[in-house]
Amino acid sequence: MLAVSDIRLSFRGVRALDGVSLTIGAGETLGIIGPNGSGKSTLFNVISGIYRPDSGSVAFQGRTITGADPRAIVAAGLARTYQNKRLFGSLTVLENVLVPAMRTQPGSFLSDIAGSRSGRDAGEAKAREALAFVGLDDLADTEAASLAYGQQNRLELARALACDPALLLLDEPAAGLSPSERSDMRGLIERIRDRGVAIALVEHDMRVVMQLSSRLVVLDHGVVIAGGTPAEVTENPEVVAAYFGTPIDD
Amino acid sequence: MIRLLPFVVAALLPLVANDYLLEIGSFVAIQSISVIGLGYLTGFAGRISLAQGGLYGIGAYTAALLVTGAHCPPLLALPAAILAAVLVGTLLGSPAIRLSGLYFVMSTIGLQQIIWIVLMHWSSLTNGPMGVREIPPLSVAGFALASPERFYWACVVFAAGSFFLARRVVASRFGLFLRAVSDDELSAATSGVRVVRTKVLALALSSAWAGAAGFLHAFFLRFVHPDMFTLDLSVVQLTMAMFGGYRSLDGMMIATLILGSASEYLRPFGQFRLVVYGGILLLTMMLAPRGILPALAGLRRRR
Amino acid sequence: MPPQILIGGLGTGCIYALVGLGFTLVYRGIRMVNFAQGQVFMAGTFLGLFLVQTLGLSAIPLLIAVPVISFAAGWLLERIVFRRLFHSHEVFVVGAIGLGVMIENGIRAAFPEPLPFPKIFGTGVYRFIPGVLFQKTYLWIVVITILLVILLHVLFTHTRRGRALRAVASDAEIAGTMGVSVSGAIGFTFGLSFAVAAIAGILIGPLYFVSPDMGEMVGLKAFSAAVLGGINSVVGTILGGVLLGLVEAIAAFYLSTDYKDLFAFAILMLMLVVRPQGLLGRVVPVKV
Repeated sequence: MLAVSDIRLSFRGVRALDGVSLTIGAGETLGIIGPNGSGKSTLFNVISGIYRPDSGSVAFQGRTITGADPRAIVAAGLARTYQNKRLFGSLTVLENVLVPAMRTQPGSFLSDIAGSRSGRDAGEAKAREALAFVGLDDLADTEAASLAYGQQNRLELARALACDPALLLLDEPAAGLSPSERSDMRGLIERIRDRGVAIALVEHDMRVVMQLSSRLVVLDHGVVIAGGTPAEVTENPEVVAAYFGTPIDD
Repeated sequence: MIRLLPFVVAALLPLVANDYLLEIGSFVAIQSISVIGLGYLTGFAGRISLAQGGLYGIGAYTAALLVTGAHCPPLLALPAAILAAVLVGTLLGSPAIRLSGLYFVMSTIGLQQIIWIVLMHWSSLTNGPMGVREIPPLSVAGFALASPERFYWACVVFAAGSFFLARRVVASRFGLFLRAVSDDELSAATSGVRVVRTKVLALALSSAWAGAAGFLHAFFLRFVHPDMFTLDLSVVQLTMAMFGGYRSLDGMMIATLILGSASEYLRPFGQFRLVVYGGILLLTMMLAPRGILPALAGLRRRR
Repeated sequence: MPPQILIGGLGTGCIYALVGLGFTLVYRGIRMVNFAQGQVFMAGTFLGLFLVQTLGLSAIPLLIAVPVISFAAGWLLERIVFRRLFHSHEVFVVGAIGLGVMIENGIRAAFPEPLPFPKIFGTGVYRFIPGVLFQKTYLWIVVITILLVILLHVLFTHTRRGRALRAVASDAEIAGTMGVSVSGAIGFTFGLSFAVAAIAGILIGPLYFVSPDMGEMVGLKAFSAAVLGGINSVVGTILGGVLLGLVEAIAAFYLSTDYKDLFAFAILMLMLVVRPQGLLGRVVPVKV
């Protein structure tokens, strides 16, 4: 479903990604781990069209999307969340999810002006469904900026779900959460996976990654140093040296 | 419907006011249209524009030249005035709107100056520093709105139309996308919003409102001159759009009323009138950075 | 083309550069644009005029007194006014516009009519090159601008205070954690930006009749010059100012004075599209 091949990207001479290749199959959950600064978020930014790689290609469902407009990539069925929570702070919780939900609704700007409610109603129904899924339906009319940290993570997730993704890129969905919130988040991701959505998961919490991922890749200094089942990867000496040799966050 | 009430009250003003007050009332109503348009950019797209006064001037000149030179019926000049402002504003403004806020401001200052220079110096088209005189009164289907009351009523009707239409625009999916873009462009894009198209549409709508306001301005003094549409006007309209409240159409209307009629109630200050005006702007921003309306709402909530 | 055109353009360009530096210094410090900068420049002119009229100061004492007073005013206004506007860019813009309106109209109440500014730099001309007249005032403008740029350079690179300013300019948060007084540095920055603009105000005075509305257009052009050269670059701003002055002078000569401003602003709009970071400005990478 997703084939990333030989991506290279440098910022001011610093190699952030140095020939990264990986694939994700339909419905598969791929865990991407690695120390801080190993290029995980950069890779997500390349896949979702925010950065254009110096070389290499990204193909999604058989179509090359390297350096395509982020909006076109979403439209193709690839959605993402952000590690540092890029919510629409002044919008309400419902409106945050309504933004992607309105994308596929009938009607237009002009029909909205003319007073047609059909598109808006369908969009709101869809947005509320996504909010109910992550358990934020009670807070629909709250301003997003005033949400607690854990709620922001869930709103990020709801917003990405409202994009109708076939593949979802999750950038540290459990970071900064309490243990009980973590297990809730893990349950949510499991349910998304069970709907048949493929997932690429960047996460520092090893328990979350191990339980959710069917396969892992390990990034270090912009290079994939290992890949395989969670069991294989944890036994790989190179990984132990590069990753477990350094203190793990959280 | 409660929002219709202020317009009904405003429409009753001719019962008590003299012609001079009606003139100020007409002026405030006309400004409010342009200010609401500017609000699409300042309030809802997070972009400061200093070209609104120039685009307003394009609307005014288009209307003035069409009704005097081509003897076009006034109401037919309205779509032309809007179209002209939209064309100039969108063609010359959109290359910069994808840039960050600072560069957009810079570019709109350039646009404002260029519009003024062209109005002033392209004499064969605009009559240059002579201005355009003897503009006939606004008329609807041959019925002239020549008296101050009638023209004032027309302005109130236009202002109400602009306000309620803008409410629809802001509530539409475009309004939603625009606010999302203003909060976070990147995550708007990765949520499927066409970021550039949304911003260009905001620019086009804001120009359209400027053009409509300019159209009315042509029939206000029935005389237009390039010096009516300088950067000063853009600055005044910008302050009106931001003084009342962040993203609040109600706030923009109230701010236009307060600041647009200031020349009247600050009269006792004589030559220090504008010093006081500047002081009001400055103090408001220092004490109520989100604008007066949200500040008042906050006070009420705290009580 | 008569060389006088270039000399005139260079002189005006230096003024744009100095006033533009005021924008650049503040922008580097707080990432905001002080739209009252043009009025600060104009206030410098009138402060100079006032000191000449009342105390009879000559050129050199004036060039010391005016920036000192202006520095104090800038520092004080930052304490009392500007720091209460840091809430957002929009608030800062409207607040600064309000302050500009106050300054301009306050001065207009005291000086309602345009006035001639005393010829403090003398009225003579130099003939360095045969056939080329170099007015004394222009010579002063160029020399003082160069001196100021050297002074600023030394300040930024060789003094503790200057290094603190640069640290704050590159990242206030990190500078703060490293023990730099961020609020002190910002106050100093405003003082500096006022002082530089006020010096430009005295330099230009003898060339024209002075009036309270002179700040607006110079402020705009200076802002344009700063953006043209790169608003986060001191050298870029100076280059931008001089270039803008020269381009205007040449356009006025070859095209028409009517359209010289049109030309200047058209170049700017084009520049913004082609190279928005300015001639020497850095592209600040998007943080994701």
